[in-house]
Amino acid sequence: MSEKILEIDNLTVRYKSGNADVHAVNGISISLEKGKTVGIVGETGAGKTTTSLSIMNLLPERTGRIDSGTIKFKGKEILDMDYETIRSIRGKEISMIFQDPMTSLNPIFTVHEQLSEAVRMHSNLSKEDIDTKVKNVLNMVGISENRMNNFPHEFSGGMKQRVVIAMALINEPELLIADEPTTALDVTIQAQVLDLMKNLKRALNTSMILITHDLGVVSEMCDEVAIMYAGQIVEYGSLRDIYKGDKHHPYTVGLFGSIPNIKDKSKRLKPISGLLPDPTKLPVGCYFQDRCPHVMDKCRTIHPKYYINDNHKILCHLFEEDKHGQ
Amino acid sequence: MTNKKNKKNKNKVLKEEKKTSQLKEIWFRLKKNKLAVMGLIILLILILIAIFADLIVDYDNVVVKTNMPERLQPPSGKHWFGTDEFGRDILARIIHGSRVSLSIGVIVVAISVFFGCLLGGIAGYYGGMIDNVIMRIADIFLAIPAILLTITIVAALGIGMTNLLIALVIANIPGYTRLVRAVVLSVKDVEYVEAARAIGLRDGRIIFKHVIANCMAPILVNATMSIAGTILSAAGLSFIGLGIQPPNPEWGAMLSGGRQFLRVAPHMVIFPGIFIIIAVLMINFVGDGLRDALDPKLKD
Amino acid sequence: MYKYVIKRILLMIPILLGITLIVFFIMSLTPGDPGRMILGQGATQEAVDKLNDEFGFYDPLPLKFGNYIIDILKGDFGVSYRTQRPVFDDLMVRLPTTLKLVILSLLIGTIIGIPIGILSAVKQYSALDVFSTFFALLIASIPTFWLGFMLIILFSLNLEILPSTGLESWKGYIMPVGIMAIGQAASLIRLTRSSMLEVIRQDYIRTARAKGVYEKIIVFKHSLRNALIPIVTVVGMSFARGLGGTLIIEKVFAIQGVGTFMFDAIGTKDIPVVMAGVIFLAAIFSLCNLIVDLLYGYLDPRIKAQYSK
Repeated sequence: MSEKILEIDNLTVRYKSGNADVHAVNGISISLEKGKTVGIVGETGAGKTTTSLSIMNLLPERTGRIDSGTIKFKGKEILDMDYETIRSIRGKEISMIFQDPMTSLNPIFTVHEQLSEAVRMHSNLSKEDIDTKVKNVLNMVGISENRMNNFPHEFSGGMKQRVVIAMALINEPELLIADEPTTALDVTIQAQVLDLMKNLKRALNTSMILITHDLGVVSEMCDEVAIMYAGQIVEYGSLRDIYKGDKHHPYTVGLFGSIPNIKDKSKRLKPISGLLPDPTKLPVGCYFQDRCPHVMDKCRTIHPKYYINDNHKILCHLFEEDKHGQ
Repeated sequence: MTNKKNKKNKNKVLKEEKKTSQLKEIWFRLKKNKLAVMGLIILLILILIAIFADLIVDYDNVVVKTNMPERLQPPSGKHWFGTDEFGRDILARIIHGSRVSLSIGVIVVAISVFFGCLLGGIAGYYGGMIDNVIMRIADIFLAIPAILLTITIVAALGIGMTNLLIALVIANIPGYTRLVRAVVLSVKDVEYVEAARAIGLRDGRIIFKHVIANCMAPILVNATMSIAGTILSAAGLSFIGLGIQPPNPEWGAMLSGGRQFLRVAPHMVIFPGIFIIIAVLMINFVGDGLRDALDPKLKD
Repeated sequence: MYKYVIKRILLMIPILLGITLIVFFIMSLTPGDPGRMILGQGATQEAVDKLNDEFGFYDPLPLKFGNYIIDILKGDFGVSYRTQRPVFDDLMVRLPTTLKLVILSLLIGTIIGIPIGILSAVKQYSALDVFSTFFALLIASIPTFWLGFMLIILFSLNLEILPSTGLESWKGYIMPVGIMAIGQAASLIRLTRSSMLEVIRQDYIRTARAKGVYEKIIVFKHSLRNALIPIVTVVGMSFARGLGGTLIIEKVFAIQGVGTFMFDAIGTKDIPVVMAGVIFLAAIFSLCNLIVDLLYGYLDPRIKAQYSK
């Protein structure tokens, strides 16, 4: 059994919004082995970004709160770390690629300043060494080094995203969290960026959490997949379990729209009729009850438990008679 | 045909529902702001005092009539805030003065907003030559600090209440023109205005009904704050002798009058000043509350 | 960049001309004529007419304006109706006093206001934040001249430690500068706080945190430099407010600056003095706006890029 780089256990996160509590993440568990990639798939508002911000301990200070659960990075509890410890991990051992390249770069600093800062915060390298690192990482993401003294506004969207990726990779992190790294990009650039990330992953043996809407991206990049709905993982399994398995959560089936086909890479998530439940007042029973085609009486009263088959977990009453879980 | 009409009515109803719920939402958020609520209540009391001033104290016999035997008396049971150099009761004068001071603020801002909307709306909507002319003139007015502009106008027209009002209005218009123009530009090409134009609404109606209706929020916040600012400017101008003239009991003019008696009768300047501060501070509380209520994202 | 600076400076010319035109037009609405003003009620109509002719009072308005502009360019702002002395010379004697007050108070106000505004935003909802925002709003609601009176009552009349008028010694500066500085600080606290709050919410601040940048560097480098862009504008506007405010403060403390010079002139309808004072102060204000604009370009590379085009 190989080394676990990240273990999230029963993580619960709430946001305060006025007088109401937003139940953003409701008890999720993920474990990731070194060098592997897990994909997190789900609708906007399912709690994917909140999960990834929790790993970096970057939730909005006043409004976000981790209610319970543990997040262990290389066996050490992130939530118990003091500021200096977590700071020294951010950007060095764990780094993050954010969703929107247009707003993720500081408009008043050059690309070089922003990249070299990431190095300076974690090492005492000389100016020349930092320069070399910046040039190397820019080459890696395919940006000419003579543009490194340009400001963000002088780059196109796709190039900005490459800069964001370069910033996340410059310290060769052990864990990379990519929050929809291609959503804001054109289709052609999407493919380039994905290729780039795949190559980098191979070269640096980085573990990765990839948050996406795009099932094609999942099939191409991931080893394991977590399907998130209303702050819970409703189905978790290997790429094979999800794309080839015979048992699926109704939500997963809905997402794939039809029988999943691992070869059909262009497929995107299909919208399912209805909306996510109001996260300030989640229903009793299964959170998917109002949109589920197989809804039963007990779905409205009892919260389902995981059906577990090896590494494949499904949170649904449909499979409960087969095998009981945790 | 009837179907279409029904649909239209339905849309209208939906829209109005949305509007009222939005107002409710804003009111709900404003209500949660304790300072703003306090501001509203105290302002309401001041306004009621101003409206019923004549019932509370007799203008001719108490507010302006001199009573030399009782001049410059310190605060006492009979004269709570003391008397001025002519023996007039300061409290009575403050009560009547609230009429002038408060209404100057409201009148000046209302008129300036009206002209600002008109000019800014025209400039923003039509663009081109008209826009250029209006905005260049506004730029030049804005290049003169407001108080200097006001002083210049009062100096030229002569000292007095009406001229003070005219001066304050003229000094306020360019700022609103610029504000309204900016908002108009930002909503002008939004779909609902295009749609209005497509169904052939006349230009004037498009500007006023759709555009201005949608930029009420920033104007409202701005106007509230500038009522406070105007009351302060008016008091300042009265103080330097360019505004309200005695024996009219305006708060700023009362302060100005008390200046020579700082040593013997400090109450003459202390009390009118406190009332100016209360009025302005309460308006600012309401303005702050309104801004937060209209722009909830700033609260986090 | 240089091209822009020159362009921006050239743009000042029509603005200054516009200001002069507006002030000239407004002042020409004043009833009365200079001849009667100077010679007084006792003079004969003949003498008055003769003097008015000398002044060009009966010329058409455009010609009068043209002559006025030409005179200004020669440094001649006319003579005071009251004292018969050249306005420009008297103005130059008083201008340094006014500028000293404005600049000194703006400097102190900035030094106090910006750091408190930053702290207030970084520690939003802390006791310091609640107190300083309330204090700033309170100060903004107090008429400066009233605050002046209160301080005079306290420090001059009761404690007798500060002079109530004039600027003869350094003690004389304490109250007028202090009052104006506290007003500047109050408005800068509010504006610094809100623009910092706006910046702190931006995605790029989260990116910086995710990079492992120290919190202090995030506040002082990443946030402040972005927040400074609107703050620079605000400091520029504060200068204008300072110019207005000093006029009233001068009157409170009987300081011989441009303000008292102008108010005395308004009382006696001494039009050349009023006009010169307004045009001068407006010109200084425009110059200040120019500097702000140039600084703006320096701080924001996006604007700098527009310049070079």
